[in-house]
Amino acid sequence: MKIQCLNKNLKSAVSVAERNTSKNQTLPILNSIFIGAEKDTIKIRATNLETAVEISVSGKIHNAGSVVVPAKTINSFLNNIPEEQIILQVQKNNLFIKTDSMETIIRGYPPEDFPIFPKVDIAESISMSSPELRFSLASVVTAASISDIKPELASVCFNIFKNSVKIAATDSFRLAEKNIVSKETRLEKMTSFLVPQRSVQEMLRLLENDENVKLGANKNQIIILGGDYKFISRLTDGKFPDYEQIIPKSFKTIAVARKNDVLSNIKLASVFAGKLNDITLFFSPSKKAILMSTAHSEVGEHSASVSASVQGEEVTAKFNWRYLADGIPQINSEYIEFNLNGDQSPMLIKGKGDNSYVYLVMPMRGI
Amino acid sequence: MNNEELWSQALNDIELAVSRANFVTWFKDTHILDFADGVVTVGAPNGFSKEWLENKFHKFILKSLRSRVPEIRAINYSIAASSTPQAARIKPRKEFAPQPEEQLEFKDFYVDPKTNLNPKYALDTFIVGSFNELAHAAALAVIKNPGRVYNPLFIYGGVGLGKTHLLQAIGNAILKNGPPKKIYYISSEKFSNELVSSIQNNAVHNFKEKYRDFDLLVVDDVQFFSNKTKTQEEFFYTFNALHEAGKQVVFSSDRPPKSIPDIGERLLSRMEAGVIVDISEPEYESRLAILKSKAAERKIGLPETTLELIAMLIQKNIRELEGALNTIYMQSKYQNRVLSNDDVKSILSKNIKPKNAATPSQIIKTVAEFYDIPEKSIYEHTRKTEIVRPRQVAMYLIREDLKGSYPFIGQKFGGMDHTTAIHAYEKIIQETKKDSKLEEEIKRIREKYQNQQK
Repeated sequence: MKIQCLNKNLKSAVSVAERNTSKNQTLPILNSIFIGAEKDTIKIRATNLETAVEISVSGKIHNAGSVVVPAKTINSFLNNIPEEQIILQVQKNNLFIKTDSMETIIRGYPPEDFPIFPKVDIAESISMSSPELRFSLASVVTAASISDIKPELASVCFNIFKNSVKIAATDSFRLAEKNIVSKETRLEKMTSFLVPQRSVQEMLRLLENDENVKLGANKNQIIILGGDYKFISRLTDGKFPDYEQIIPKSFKTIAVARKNDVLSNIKLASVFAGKLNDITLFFSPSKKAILMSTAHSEVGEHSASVSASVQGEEVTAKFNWRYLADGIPQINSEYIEFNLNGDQSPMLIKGKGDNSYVYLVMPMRGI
Repeated sequence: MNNEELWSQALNDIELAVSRANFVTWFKDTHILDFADGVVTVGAPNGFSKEWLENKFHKFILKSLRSRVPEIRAINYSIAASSTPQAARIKPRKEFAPQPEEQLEFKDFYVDPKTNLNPKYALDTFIVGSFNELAHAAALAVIKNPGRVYNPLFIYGGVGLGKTHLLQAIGNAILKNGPPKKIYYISSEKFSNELVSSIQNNAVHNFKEKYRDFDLLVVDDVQFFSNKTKTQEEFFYTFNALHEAGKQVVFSSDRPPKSIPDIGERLLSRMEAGVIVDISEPEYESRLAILKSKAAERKIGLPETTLELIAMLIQKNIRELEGALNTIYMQSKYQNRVLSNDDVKSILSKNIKPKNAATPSQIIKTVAEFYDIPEKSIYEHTRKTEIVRPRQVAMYLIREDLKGSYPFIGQKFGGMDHTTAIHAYEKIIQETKKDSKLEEEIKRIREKYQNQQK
């Protein structure tokens, strides 16, 4: 193999690939990346057997061929060389790089030992704008559990039917659901699958370009096809809880307040939050305000009032402020709506007049 | 040689031929899914393993399988996710902090969608006392021999006494112990709703098939079947199908089958065909044991005397007992001190419904309403049976619940002699022992006037 390409392009592809390698001790080849040149494309591949990514890099191919080298080594190497253009060559299983001023050999593995990417046969796929998918996933994944004890809760659930794409995540203390209408999609069959939360984090990084991506899934895998990359992840085997039944339909208290006011006040109050991260919210129709108070036995106490229009019963409930601070920034409206049914039932937060995103959070026990 | 043995022998060969790292990575969690007509299907845990086995090890696998079973012609590979998460693990972004006890969860989130059972209801956390030991023993017998003894099992008892816990524990125990069985737990109300929606969607057939497929069907709160003729009918057929096939059915209700109003004769006789056991109210020792176990389970540190006091004050309902425990614990945590017995009493007195605050007139009025007779007729000196029985019931309740003296009772009922009151009281006690229907009636009358108090 002999290829020539811009260091800038290669570098960004290698750093994306490196994130998808694994620290597997039994099979060291899994922390390597595959560089292959065939016909007229250069492809970089990496996998940790959970996710896999393949990135196309533009460049000039003198000779076809392939090489597998440790990701960390080549990444650090590329980050530290001044050259704009480099030429990569293969000598036996090693990567040989020669410029005017240096000669480098990176030891590699036999390319035939590199895992073969699974074929993902997809009957139907949907097309979406990359920023929209990215924004939607980011707004939901925040509610997913990060513990692997319940794999279905450490996942983001996709429900695709006709032209609506519903994605949801919950760790059983809070739940986020985003509803996207995809104009170009019409799936006749209801498709539903669970993507591991960690794979979603990786997807967020990949979806940075402003382009349209294709997304499809079969029984075991999801695939995303971008302009110059292909991303595959395994799916979680499990059943997502039947969450729609827990989203309340009617409410005893409804409060509307300016999002930025609420958010800045929660962050301010969090300075004085106790060990349990608890913040007490008092929704008062008569005072036309949401009163927030926190107390820490050692740090001090704090209370503040955020003006709001509050309708219905007055209610006091205690929440984990982190859960509030996770969900509220995801709402894309100037005004947000709090919907409650007493101090022991879930509180639903959404943008005023916007039902596409809902964030549901359970209160904490106590007075 | 079964599939498992065949595969493990083949793996022995392969292990010798490939490197340790390769073997561990690619052959972990593989197994033979199917072997028919000379074609073996090998299950791999993920897409990568499948590709790898197919492309790199196919010849090896075929050779070693053939050396044992020569008629094998071909091997297929497919992805079969194993029950344990496999493949490489990426370190979590941050350490997972366990949730504090105070954070509430979405209700019923951990219900197993396949069986509808909540795993938190286990048999080991079910406290057995004299009030429920019969029900517990019957449950154990059912778990040991589902479908054989006590079919159907009918458990009844008041609210918050642990019926649902026992019912779900039966399901969970059978699920855990024996060979895989199809188990389903449903409340009668949900059954009814499902039937209605299946009728709407023209899918009654699916509905029928679903329910006739279970090895154990647990139906909670069957008293809600009352008045729903179509549901009863459908359930009757389901029950018959299951019972004939020797499948276990378990019911619960807040009253014995005979006392469930408006339930078809056919269904009623089926419910009574097996064994009927009741759960009564726990006595002091059991209440204390329950409190202690709840406190230990939730790591609530409260002094023994406080627990004893709670067990003393809250007498009827286990759910209330739990609520009281929570309240006291929260209060003491909030005030950051150990609560004295007087504190506990004053806190709980706010929460406990005063049971004895009904007035004699209220009781009489409720009784009259219940038996559908004019209130004033109770006060009349008449010997008509339709009046006499309610009058006796009313006298009994005033004596029992309000501790009214016999002369007072006599006076209250239009100046009757106190011996009449004594006779009425004793007669009702006698009758309730023989007649469970009367006992049920009295219970419901009591509920009525006690609930008016709110």
